[in-house]
Amino acid sequence: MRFADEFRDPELAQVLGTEIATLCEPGRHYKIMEVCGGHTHTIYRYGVQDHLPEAIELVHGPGCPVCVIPMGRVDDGIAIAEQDGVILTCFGDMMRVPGGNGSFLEANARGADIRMVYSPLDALRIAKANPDRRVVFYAIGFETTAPSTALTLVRAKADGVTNFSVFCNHVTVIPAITAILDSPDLQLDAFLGPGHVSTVIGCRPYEFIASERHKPLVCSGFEPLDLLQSIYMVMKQFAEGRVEVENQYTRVVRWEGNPMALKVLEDVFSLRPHFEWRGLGSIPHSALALSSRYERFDAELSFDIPGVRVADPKACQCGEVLKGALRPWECGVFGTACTPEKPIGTCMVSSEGACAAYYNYGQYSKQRIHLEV
Amino acid sequence: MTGERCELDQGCITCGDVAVVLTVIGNEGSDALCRDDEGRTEHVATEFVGQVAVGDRLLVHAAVALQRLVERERVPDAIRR
Repeated sequence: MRFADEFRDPELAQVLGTEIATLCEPGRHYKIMEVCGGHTHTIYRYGVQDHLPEAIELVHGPGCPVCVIPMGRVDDGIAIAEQDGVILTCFGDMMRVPGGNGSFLEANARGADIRMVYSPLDALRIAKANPDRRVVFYAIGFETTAPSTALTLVRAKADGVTNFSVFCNHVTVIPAITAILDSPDLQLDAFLGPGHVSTVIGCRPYEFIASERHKPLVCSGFEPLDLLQSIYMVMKQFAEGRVEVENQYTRVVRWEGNPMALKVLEDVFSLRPHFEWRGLGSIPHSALALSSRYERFDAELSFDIPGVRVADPKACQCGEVLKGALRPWECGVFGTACTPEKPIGTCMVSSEGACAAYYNYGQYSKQRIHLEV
Repeated sequence: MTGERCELDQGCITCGDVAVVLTVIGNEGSDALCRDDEGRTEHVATEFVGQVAVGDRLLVHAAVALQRLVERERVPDAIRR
């Protein structure tokens, strides 16, 4: 039996659901945000919400790395790719993200050379194999992914590679949570913290959410029982009058994170003064740029980039979905003009996007809970 | 299996902040050769987790090990009560 099977045991899920229900205060409604898109995907795929009492509402957060990329940055990537001799590399889901000037796939159809990679280390290998080309890695993602970009740059520097650079769009999760806490649109009761981000940054950075903002946060794993246990831990805090940061995902998350990875991140990156997030607007100190020690690998310095802000299509309500203010199916174009095959908004692109997850699994969730969980 | 996990039809595990647990089956310099539960192998950079040995379980994202698992992956007793 794979370990994951144990974490999808339907009888244990039923037991946890019942215990969670007993912890609900009569008449009270609980809004719990899962910050990470991976959690959103699990919730829809396995019908986690169906195990919860109606008093508990799961609100989907902005933690899908693809979904928060603004259209202007997609256009910047295409502008790089369309310059002579360039190979642009990126992760798979980025290929379909719509910008103002189309997607990377559409740019390829116009003659650009944009290649999908599994790791930035693959992009470095492509650079070494093509010394006459300029190879750029289009970096996206939170603190889960930033270490792989950082390590690639460390290796590129050590190996003296001169035809490799990074267009950096890495973002950091704490400022996004802070922006949501400051948003007047949404009154949340608690958070499920992003498990894989937390393997890198640890639990300590979340402590202010409990001590200053008085919201419980539980770092959660990604299997259905992980999420149900995390919700149980949140509800237990409410029942006992506690407000704390707790760690459910102890099999990989340490309180202090990964100090070796954090040290390299600090060396390779610096914080940008501001960065625009799709749906959340400009958030100070929320994204990474290459530090001065790695500026010769910085595509923003070595390429001519438009850097123009592009407004989202009016019909698209990704911004409200990303803040949890709107459910995916409440968007006017959900499932009609906007589908995974032809997305208008980024939330419909990645499988971790709330709209794509609901489109793929939502309407079948009650069936799937019996078949798969 | 480099490159095989970015599949447009099924979503991209690197885009999705997905990390996978792999078992070390050999060392190759600063990389480890690892295998998943279904027998697929992958070269993994290990600079962030220190020296690894055959049999170690690693949490891997984008071909980079982020953490070493110290607990057996099993449902906690707290859930089983």
